[in-house]
Amino acid sequence: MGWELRSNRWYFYTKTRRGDRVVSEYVGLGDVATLIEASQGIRRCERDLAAFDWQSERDHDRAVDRLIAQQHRIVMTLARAYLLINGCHTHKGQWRKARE
Amino acid sequence: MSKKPITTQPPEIDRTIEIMKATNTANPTPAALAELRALFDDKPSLWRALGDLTRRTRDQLLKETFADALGRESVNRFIADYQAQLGYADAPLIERLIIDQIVNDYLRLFSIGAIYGHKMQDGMSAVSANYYDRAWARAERRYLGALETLARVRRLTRPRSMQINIGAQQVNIAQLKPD
Repeated sequence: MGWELRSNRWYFYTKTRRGDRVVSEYVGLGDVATLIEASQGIRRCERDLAAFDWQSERDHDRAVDRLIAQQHRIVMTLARAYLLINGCHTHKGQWRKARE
Repeated sequence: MSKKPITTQPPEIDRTIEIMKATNTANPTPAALAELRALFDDKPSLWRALGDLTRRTRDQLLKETFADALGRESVNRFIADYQAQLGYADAPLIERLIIDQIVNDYLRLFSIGAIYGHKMQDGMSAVSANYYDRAWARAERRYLGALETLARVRRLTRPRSMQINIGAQQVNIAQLKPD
């Protein structure tokens, strides 16, 4: 995407991908092309900002998830410990109470 | 609203996990079991620390999911009711800990659902939808796992009731656990 000098005039083209090929499309020249270039720039900024916002949100959510998961593991570990000291054991993946 | 999650883990937990690794066999040694027993009996600080941690995590989850005090108050009442249904008041310490975790796991599940529903209204990207789908699946597994653990602990460690038939009546008597 950008300005190209042809026959002593500046023309604005956009590059778009169609399948395996990149195709150059003529947009315009002069003030109209300048406005179109600016609006494309704004859209790029908005996409970048949205990507940054999403990354921040996802990173925070992952941190919260890790915290909950860590506490969950701790409590489940303690529960298993409690079962062990109460004479329980696992047999083929099932928890059982030892016969007295 | 604070965006920084709490990351402090009580130091007693590290010791507990070490001992658990030593006893994580089909036949733990009597010494390892004795050490575990001591951890449960002699470490009230462990329970206090865990209780504090789960409560702080719950408060943070509530703040992040509900911006207004009315929403948080409604959920607090729901939590109290849910805990009561699970028998929190009469439960031993270990069961209370599991119930607290069940509540936190449920709140996490609820918050993901709330975020998902909110984003669906505004339009959500495929990446975002995929992320929250997987987060929901993880949270649901944890929640169901915690419920199963509570049921298992109760089934295996609570005294069983004995049924006696007297005439035409069936009477259930709580059997005392042998010392």
